[in-house]
Amino acid sequence: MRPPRGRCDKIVSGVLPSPAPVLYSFIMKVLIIIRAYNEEASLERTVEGLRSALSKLDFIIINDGSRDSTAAICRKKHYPFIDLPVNLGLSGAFQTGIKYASLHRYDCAVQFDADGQHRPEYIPFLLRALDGCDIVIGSRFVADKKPKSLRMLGSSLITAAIRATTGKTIHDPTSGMRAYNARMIDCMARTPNLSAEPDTLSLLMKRADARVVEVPVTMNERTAGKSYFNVWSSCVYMLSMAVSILFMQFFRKSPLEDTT
Amino acid sequence: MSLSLRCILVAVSFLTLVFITLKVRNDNLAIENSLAWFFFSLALLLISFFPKIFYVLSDIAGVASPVNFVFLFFIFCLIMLGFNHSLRLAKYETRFKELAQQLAIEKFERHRADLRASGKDPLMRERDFSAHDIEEACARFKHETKRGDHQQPA
Repeated sequence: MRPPRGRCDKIVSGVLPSPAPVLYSFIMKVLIIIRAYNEEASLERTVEGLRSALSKLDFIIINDGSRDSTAAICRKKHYPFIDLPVNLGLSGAFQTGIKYASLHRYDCAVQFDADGQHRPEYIPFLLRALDGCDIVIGSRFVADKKPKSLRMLGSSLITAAIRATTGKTIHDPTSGMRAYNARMIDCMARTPNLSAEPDTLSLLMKRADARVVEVPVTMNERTAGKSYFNVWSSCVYMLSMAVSILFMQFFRKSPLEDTT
Repeated sequence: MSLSLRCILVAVSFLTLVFITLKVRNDNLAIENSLAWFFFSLALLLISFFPKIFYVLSDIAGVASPVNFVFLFFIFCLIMLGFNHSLRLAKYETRFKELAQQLAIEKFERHRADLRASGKDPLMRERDFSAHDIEEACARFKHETKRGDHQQPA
């Protein structure tokens, strides 16, 4: 493994006063990975928002085998995009971006949604928090209480499962807005079964000593497209997460071991 | 066991063997995949000729009725075959995924090389994001995040 770049020797922990003093001095190469599956309605607005908020950061769109005009929009607007020939799902598509980041030695990868739920203004806060830890989660529920709904019940259950196995509390494990440092990028690029799901979070914490920090963010309501979850698939998802976090991960190899 | 039942068993297991061999012959089945099925049908034929094997085995295993032992044995064989297929499927899924990823990355790299040649590299325009840039970007959005920027999980 290469020596970590963009790492400062001071580790930030606990709650910083705001405005935070600059405790660190690092330079990093950041790649924002946007997975797009049939997102023609919101992709352009998301990317333009991202560009105007953070003109200096690299981003890459992973077109996950969309059947609509997602690829055409990217081509017309000259967005950098990786065009997967088939639909690999969230995990496979995100891993493509991670592999690209690993290939080009990025220091940090940010997972970002194309559907307009995530706000680019928060990305710098994620990057700032990445100083001294491995994964930063943009969390909706650090300061705010979780609203009471079936979906949030699922989220709470995953929180409880992660607390049971790792002893740490992740308030918003299902948040899709995360930043990973170079060490995690290498882990995720090498290991085939690390999806962009909460069980990976728990596996990395448990088996790769990943330090995880949550940064409070607010998210927009979904503006276009619709959630791919229904009641049945949510139940299946929850069950597989619970089994994976509470049971399977104790038998899995550490992502730090060489898998090849 | 009646004679007609034994005739049926022999006939069916013989046909199974012929069917599987034909499929291998016509290259519908890869040789290494067909081994398990070939032995399976061979065993079927053997047992239909000598059903006494199962009487002896069920005696040893302490199963009251030999027919139960037949079911037990073959259900276990099928489960193993099914699991084997699951393993193979997972292997191909991984390979397939990696192939698709590699292909897409390769395609993008070529495209990017072309762009770079004409001086329009879409990535790494300003490759380094410094602490100063982060602070500046955070400061622009200060009003929304008054409640503290960092929070370590308990």
